[in-house]
Amino acid sequence: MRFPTKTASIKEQQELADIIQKNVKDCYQCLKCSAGCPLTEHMDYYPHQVMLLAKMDLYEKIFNSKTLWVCASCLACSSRCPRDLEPAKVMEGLRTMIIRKRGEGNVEVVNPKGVPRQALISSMRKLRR
Amino acid sequence: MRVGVFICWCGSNIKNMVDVEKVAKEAEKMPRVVYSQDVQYLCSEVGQADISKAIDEHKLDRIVIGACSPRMHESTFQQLLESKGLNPYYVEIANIREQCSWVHTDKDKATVKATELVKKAVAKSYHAIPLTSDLLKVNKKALVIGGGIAGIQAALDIADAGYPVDLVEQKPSIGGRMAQFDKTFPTLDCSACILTPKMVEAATHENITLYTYSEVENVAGYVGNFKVKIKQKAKSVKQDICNGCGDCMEKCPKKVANEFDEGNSKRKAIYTLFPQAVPNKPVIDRDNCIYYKTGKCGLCEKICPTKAIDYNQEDEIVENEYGAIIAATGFDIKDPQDLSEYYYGNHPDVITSLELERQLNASGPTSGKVIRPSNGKTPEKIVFVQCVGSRDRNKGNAYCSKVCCLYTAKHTLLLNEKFPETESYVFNIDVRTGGKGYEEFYERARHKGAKYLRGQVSKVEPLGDADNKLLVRGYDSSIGEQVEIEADLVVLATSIEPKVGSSKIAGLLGLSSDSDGFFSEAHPKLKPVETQAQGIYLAGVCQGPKDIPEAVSQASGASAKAIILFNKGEVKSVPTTAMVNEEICSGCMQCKPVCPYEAISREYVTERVAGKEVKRPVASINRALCQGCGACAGLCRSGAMDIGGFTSKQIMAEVDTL
Ligand code: SF4
Ligand code: SF4
Ligand code: SF4
Ligand code: SF4
Repeated sequence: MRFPTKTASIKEQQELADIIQKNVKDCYQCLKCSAGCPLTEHMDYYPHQVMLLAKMDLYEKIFNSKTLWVCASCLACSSRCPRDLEPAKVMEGLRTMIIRKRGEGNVEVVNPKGVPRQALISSMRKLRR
Repeated sequence: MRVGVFICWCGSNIKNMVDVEKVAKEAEKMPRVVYSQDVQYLCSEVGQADISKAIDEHKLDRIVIGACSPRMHESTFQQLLESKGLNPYYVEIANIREQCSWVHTDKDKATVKATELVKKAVAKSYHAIPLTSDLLKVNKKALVIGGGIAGIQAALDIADAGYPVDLVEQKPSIGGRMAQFDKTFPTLDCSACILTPKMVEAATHENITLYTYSEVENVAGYVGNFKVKIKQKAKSVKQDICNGCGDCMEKCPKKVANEFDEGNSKRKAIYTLFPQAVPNKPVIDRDNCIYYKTGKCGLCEKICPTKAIDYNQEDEIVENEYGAIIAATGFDIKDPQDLSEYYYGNHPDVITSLELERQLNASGPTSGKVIRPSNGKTPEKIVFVQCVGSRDRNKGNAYCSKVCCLYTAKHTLLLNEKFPETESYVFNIDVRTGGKGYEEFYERARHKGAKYLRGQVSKVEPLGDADNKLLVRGYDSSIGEQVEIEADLVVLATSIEPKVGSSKIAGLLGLSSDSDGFFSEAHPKLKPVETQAQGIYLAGVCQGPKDIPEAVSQASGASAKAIILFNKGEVKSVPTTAMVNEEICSGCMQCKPVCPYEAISREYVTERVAGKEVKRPVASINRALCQGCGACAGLCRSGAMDIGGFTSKQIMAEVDTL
């Protein structure tokens, strides 16, 4: 990766901040979110990497990754982040941005049974057409 | 002779690895031992009472303690003996903790060893001789070496306590490194604003005498009675006449790289170190002055309205006496040129943090503007590299310089505030923020947009574009990718090192230094400001990397030690001094030159030989000067020299029992 590279516009940064009401720049890369995430084996970028990319304004990379759609919104990361950054919320915010842009999501349901309620609500948003 | 033996459990520290009851039983069988006991905690009041009772009941006159290192509690036991009317040197300690229980894993063997150690101590105790110390008067005046913030603070504290202090600084002004800084973390106070009042106070304090442009030449004596030679370099400007108008500095034709701006500006051959210098009167730098080189010029003399220039001034040596000395010699930064991967010295836009600090400073070379030295433009992408030469066993220093993480955070904040269009990237191994408010400060830097990348930079090289940019290659372990940044400016957080010349000061003061050259404290935890040399204390970075609040606290601690010494007014001399057996001393005086304290002199004894009176030379010890180092005893070929508490007889008795 070489800088300067394409980074999110001020408008996009503002949009994310408005949705998540958090400052991703607060993340200090302790890696705890990735440590507890149950789905990392299906992700191309791990939660902490999503956080770092968001912090570096490299949204494009996240938008093109699988991770946002693999994330089950289980909130394990959010409940444990020592900076109270709620990575799940950040994921959700980034997803929302894509959905707003394209008006569609692209989720593949891996395990339709036993989905936690929060995840279900989130999935409905993801699956929404 | 009636020996009593006491074996300590030290809770479980000794007892777990040594069968203390067995050692006490064995001790009973040793010659002249009339009493033996094991005790849970010998240093406790109960333990002390046990010893005291045994001394009374069994009329003990030698005490052998099997416990921890004498460094810990020797004085505790000595005081007890003294209170019982026995000479404190009638106690002997066998170290069965550090030298036995803590280092062994086989209880049976450790018990045998502990018994041996006790046996050895018992044998030594037979030959103990009573030792006394004298009370020596303390000269209630302090010397502080180094006029940075630590030295200034130490001098002010001692002066405020009512004692006179001399403050020696080798530069023409006090202020030290802190005077170079722009802002201080984590409060972003303006460095000069908080420093200059202290500088002025030090200069005007009735109890403080400043010796600027001066160096310590020689130190003799001992605690309470140091004799120090200070060389005042010729300033070539009569300080009492000069009114500080600065006309000379303006007119002087000779320009020299300005060390205060890390060489990034010019000063004149006649100069003050910085605008708020204290004293604020110029000196002539003779190495660069045209007059001293060629005999021509002399412009400053012509221009000076008060006729203060004096080309014939000479260096002056002043000799003063002090009771205590505080070393506060400060630090230098490591030249990053050895670490060639960072390209420092090969591209103008690779600079050190201290150079950036000067750029940020309103009185610095760029009047507070941050620029790319190559073209004078404001940089947009700035890469900070942490740990340049720190934590680097290969080409740098193994230790952490402690302040770089925080001052880099400060730099990113200042840049963000002054030049919001700049972008800061910080490559780091990890960010260390131990200190009050420091983590929050780092948080603020991140919040304001500083991009921290976890990984060290491996290469800085020119990009070869029209803008003459730099390409910085690193790796971020979080993303797990190589990261390259096209940077306008690269700032290196260079390692802190002991001040050049501090090893000479260590030699003069008799201080030991650690492998990195920082002065060693007497105990890393409990005596952080004292040194092994009594009456000499440490303040600031000369003892190890520190930030300003730490340096100031240590300075106040060091000055408190000096004040305690002055309040007491007298010190006990070392009782374990050298002793000459005049009967066998051949008077060769080989011992005289080896004594580092100049305690040995030649004296004469009068004897009758073959009916005639003859005078024979022998070595003689000045007990006030001798520190009991043992150099002379080790050297003496006739075996005439002994050290009290460690006589050859005592040592041989120990060896014989093994
Ligand atoms: S919310 Fe998403 S990113 Fe966070 S732990 Fe759960 S699956 Fe992983
Ligand atoms: S747990 Fe929070 S602070 Fe730690 S890496 Fe994840 S988002 Fe960042
Ligand atoms: S004599 Fe020396 S100090 Fe004076 S003006 Fe000339 S060069 Fe400068
Ligand atoms: S022990 Fe000997 S060498 Fe050491 S200080 Fe005393 S006299 Fe000097």
